[in-house]
Amino acid sequence: MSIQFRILLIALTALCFLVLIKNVKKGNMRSDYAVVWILCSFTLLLLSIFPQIADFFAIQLGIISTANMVFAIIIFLLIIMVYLLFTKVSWLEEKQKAIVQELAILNKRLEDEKKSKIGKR
Amino acid sequence: MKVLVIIPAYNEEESILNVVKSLENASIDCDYIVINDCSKDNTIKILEENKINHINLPVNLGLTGAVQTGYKYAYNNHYDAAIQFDGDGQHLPEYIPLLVDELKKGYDIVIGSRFVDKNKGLSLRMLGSRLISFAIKATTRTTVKDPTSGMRIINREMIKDYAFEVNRKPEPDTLAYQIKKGYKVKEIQVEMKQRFAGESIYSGLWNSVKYMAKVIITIMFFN
Repeated sequence: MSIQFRILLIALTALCFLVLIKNVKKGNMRSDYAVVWILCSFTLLLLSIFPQIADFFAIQLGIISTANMVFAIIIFLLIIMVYLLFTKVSWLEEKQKAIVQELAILNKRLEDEKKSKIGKR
Repeated sequence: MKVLVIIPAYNEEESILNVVKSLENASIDCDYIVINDCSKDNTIKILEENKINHINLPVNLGLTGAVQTGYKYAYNNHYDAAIQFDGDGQHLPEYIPLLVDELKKGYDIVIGSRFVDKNKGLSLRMLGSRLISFAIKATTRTTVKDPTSGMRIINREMIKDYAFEVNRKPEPDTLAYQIKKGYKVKEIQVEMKQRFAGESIYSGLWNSVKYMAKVIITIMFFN
């Protein structure tokens, strides 16, 4: 890896880091969700400063190209995160639907009581 | 037996009044409720002006969410049975007593089916229906001739299930699930009319393909 590329990587990671912190402080992201991202950016930062770490593991695992190993790990982590998001979104939709339905039914009861007659035909 | 007719309505200003009137004129011993799924047209105005018993959803939930709202209402108000009845005029009220009678014999779900005595055509839609029938047959060894029929009555136990469990959309895949669970499903022959107005939400090739994939995959893997 050329020194220029490493500097670019470090700069980008640092930028992501700052954006993340700003977002959490502004309240755009919940801090418990941001923890994962902080850990990820720390790891990336560490690897871009000391790529030897990645090289070491690649050699241990018998992977010829360090980049391939890094890509594989990142893709794996991304798949896990998207999967967790799918489950999360499912639950959110389910809860939101339940709330909307409950609200509509309550509203209906309120209206019925206001009219003080049961809306049978 | 307290029976509730659930009429989901989304942008049905042209047909909803006809549907409700035909239901009232049929003088069947049942209550009805229209679920207005946040329609963008004058449906709500028509419902209010004619004092039709209805629930307004504050946001659009889609057909399945609207029908489920009806099931929740039915459960809360202690109904013994609930019928889904489309707001576009396809379903005919004179068949409701037949469905109720059948339910009284001890069935859990009774479907108003178009194809008990009659054959399916050979249109693309019927091909889809055949595929779903085949998937249900393959996984449950039970023949359901018209799995996509929207006209079905369910008893109180099923109302609770459809109202509060996750993944119980009023669709063929849920039907297959209930059959597998050992609930008794019966089909009786009914007529259905062409819709008064509006378009099927399942129209269009892409929507049909999506629907089929969803139903078949659910029946095969998640039931």
